[in-house]
Amino acid sequence: MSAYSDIPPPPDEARQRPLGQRLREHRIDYLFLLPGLAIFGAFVVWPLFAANWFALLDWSGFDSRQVFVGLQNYRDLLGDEFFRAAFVRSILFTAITVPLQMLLGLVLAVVLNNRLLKLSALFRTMIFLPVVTPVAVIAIVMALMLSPFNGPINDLLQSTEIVQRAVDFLGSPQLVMWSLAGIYVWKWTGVTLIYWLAALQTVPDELYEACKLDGVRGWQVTRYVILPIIAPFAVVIGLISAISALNVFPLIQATTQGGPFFASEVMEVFIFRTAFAPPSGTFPQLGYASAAGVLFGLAVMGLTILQVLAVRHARRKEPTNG
Amino acid sequence: MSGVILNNVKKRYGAVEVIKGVDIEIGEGEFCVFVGPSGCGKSTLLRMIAGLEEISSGDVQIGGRRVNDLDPKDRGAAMVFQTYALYPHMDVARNMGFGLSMNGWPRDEVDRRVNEAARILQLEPYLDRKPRQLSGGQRQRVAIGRAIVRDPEVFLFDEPLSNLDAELRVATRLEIAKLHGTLENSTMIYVTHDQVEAMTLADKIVVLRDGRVEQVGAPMDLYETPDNLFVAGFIGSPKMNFMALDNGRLPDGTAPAVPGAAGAATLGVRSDALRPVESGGDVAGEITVVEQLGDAVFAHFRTGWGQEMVARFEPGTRLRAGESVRFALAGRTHLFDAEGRALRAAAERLTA
Repeated sequence: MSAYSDIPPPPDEARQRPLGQRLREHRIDYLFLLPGLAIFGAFVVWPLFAANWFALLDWSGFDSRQVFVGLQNYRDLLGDEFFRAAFVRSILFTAITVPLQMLLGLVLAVVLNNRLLKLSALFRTMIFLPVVTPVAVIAIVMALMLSPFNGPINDLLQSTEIVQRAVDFLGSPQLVMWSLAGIYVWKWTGVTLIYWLAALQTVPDELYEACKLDGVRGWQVTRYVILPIIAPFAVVIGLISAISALNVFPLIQATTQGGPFFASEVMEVFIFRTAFAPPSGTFPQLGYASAAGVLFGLAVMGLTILQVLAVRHARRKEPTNG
Repeated sequence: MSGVILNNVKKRYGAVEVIKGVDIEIGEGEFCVFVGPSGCGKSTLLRMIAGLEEISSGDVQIGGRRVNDLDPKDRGAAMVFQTYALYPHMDVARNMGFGLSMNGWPRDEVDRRVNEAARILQLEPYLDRKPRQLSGGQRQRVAIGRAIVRDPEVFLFDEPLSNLDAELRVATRLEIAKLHGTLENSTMIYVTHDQVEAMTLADKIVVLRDGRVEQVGAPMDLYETPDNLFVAGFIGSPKMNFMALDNGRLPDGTAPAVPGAAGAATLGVRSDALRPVESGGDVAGEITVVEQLGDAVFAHFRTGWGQEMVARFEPGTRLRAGESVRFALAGRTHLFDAEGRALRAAAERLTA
């Protein structure tokens, strides 16, 4: 019988005690939770509710004059071509960068996962370097690199005669979104690489060995064994990447502030401009900006729900016997 | 001729030598088991035969061909892994036929072979299931099926039963034994740390320790005439009892009635060679633990000089801890010199 004495008593006893008593017992634990909860409440929970209320007001956000206008802000937004353009731009930016980033990350991960590659740790670090570099630094460096006035990239393009005249990567309304997408993918591919490498770690070594014995060759192993096994991770990695691609505000604010001529004004920049009316803007409209934020939030939430449903659907198609 | 010959095979990782010159000959159709404690190099040796580990020096021959420099798939060896190593996203049929398909085999030939393997392994009802929909034993059968479809000269098993529960382990062990009977002339090499698996499956056992072969032989040869203390202690359950000898005398000063004991350093006796006696006898002690196994009773006892030993009693024998027992040496005894080598002169002594 002594062998069983190590097992702790069932937790029923703890569960039956009243809530107040349990709170008192763990008061130190809750005390330590408080600062975190306070910050979370002030900067996440409160703005979430506040924005929904502000969206119903005609309010600059800077004076005490608040006029309740109901859904008027939403009606105005639907007719606002800047809002519509920013909305589409955000979605397009995500639709372009996410697949690119995921594909690039996957290819790099498959290559760098090869143990025979001696310098793989060095390459991983190099690819991860832009991720840990602050956005502001990247923005300044990129502005210099891509500058049409003696920027090294234009120098290179011209000296190799790929282009005749300097290209204004960040100053041309036609090119600016593509340039920003390029910078964004370059900065963040390192993160996707890490996600894919983590996914590849789930493939046991024995599978590679079984392939060796079966005479399955390099690309066949990747195509028929590795990729199908790590494919389910694509949904999660795609979701995380999409959320991060919608939060592109710092990069754009630091490079183009939405210009030239609003050509790189994504949703977040639009909201920022209407809410706080930076020097170039008109007058601040916090109520109007809040309504834009709520609408965009709903759209993203809708997309997320679709994605989660798609994952559930995919999972259900593959029954397990538990 | 599809035997396997290892000739002075060595494996080094940098300065560390893990396989220290191994010579083994395995005949065609033979079931050979590599057995030894963890870290003795048995799995490494198997992986060297398979081609998953490089051979630092020496030769490995399969079917008369030197295979050192051949690709794993060209060696004529198929391996069954401890963790099954099934492709989780493929169904059973695809798992078995995948290697053949990838090597450009015609589809109907792949199907024929897969169906034949499924028939042998009774996997026909499960061909369209995914590995996770199978029990551990079924998964292991699929792994074996994947080896069978390749029609290899040599089957390599790397602790294939270790991930199964006790009951399934016995059942699967039997299936592997039957399989060896079904697949005529197929040579099998099987790695385990479990000496019961080794004893029950093998035609030939190779006992390894620390990268060296300690003894090669048929199971009963190893059991009855171990070459050294290590093999004597490793093969057989419960473990052989060893008693130190000093000029033919036990630590308590008595001289056991074993011819040749005077020149030996250690006396070995298995639990079934200790016959309980009322008085006299060679060894006496006090029972510490009694294990009832149903078909036998094992009594662990402490000798007068404080050594733990074990003796086998007939089923149904009533024993209690604390009881005094006396035994006569009544069966095969083993004598070893100071270096642990067996002294073959030790005569058998029959029950008086």
